[in-house]
Amino acid sequence: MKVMLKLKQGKLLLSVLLPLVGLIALYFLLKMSVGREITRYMLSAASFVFAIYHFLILLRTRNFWYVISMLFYIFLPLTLLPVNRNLTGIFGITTGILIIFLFYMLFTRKIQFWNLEILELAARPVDESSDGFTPRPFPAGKAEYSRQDVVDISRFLAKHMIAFPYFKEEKVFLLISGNLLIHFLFLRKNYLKDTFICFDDNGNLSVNISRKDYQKYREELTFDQLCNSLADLFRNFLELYQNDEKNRILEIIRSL
Amino acid sequence: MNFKKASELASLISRDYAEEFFRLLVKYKDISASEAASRLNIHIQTAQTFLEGLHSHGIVLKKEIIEKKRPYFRYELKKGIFSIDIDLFSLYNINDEQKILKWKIREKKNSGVVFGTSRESDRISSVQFFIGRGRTRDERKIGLTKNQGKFLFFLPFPTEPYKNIADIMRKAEIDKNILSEILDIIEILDKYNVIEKT
Repeated sequence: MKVMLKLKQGKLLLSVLLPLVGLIALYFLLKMSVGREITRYMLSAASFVFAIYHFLILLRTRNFWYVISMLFYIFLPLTLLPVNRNLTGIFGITTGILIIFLFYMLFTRKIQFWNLEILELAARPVDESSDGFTPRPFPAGKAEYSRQDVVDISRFLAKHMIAFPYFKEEKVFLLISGNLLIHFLFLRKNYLKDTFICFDDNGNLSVNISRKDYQKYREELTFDQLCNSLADLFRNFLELYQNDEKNRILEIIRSL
Repeated sequence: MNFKKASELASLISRDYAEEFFRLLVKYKDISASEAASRLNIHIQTAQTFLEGLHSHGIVLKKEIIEKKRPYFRYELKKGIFSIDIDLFSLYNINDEQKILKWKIREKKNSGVVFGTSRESDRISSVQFFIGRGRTRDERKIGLTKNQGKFLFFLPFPTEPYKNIADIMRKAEIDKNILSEILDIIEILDKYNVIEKT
């Protein structure tokens, strides 16, 4: 069970429960209004859309656990739809096996977005709550790295759903977002308004925390300290990666 | 000549009848407003205003004439050649510069200003202020030069310690030669309560 000391807890449960309750309610509503058959087709269509979504995530992150979720969303409609009676059984069994894998993935947090954990870790060293929010990037000092170091860690962080990279000419932006879908689909044109850490080719770091993310905290944490702390967190990640201790990064994040 | 006087004179000579009027003043020993107005086919008040304007700048002499107990004025060209000289450097008071340089500044809490970030994200591209409240609220957006943007990028956050302007410029790697450009944006930020200073 996650222990969030600095972030508001309530919304975490809502973000998981509400969509689930919504989906179940939608299923029964559809079944009552349009009948079982049409409901099946509609759910199958929705399932294929989810399959495409997970395929895109797989392409962008190279996190191969998404193969399981993608296959689940492909086999589920194949099970529901009257394709072939002989094959329905096989599809059903495959779907069942994939569900077991899915539960395993969920409980072991293999395909989780870690944005909230990042925000929590950044906030932990900050004791003061003098507010001071401002909607502009914070120059967070320097670090020792090459561009290749940053590119490599970016790919690692993307694979483990910790941050999503944008590679620019002399900079790399790592986006910390709970809604990585819009980044995967290239729908976010102005990501500079989101929470990010930027590494430029001259060793300079800068940090931006969005108002939306800042409002997730229980208190109005002293903003410059929070920005500094977030930069330090990623500076630490970079150092661990350079020292070939990438698993330690995952341990830190999963320690919550 | 100060800027205000120069702009008044420039305004006079830029009128479409100005060249013809001056030609008249050169040809005639002296002329009244009504004579000039009828000759140029303009309103007498327009002619009067023009001549009074030239008089205020010392280009024409003004004599009061009493004819049949009714006084009026006649105008005679005093200067055949005149120029408009403006010392543009006088528009900037270097003493203000010295005063502002002593400030230690940081961004003010809840200033409400919106910072536009450049695509490179290492400088601020614009600042947007909101003046007033409710329906009468007005907004003003100022585009920044590259150096001003770099300066604002390093402006201390509201909870950071105040910083000397020279120190911020040093951190932003801004040349001292463009100090006046930086002080200009600081003045604006101060005017719109975006920064606080000690």
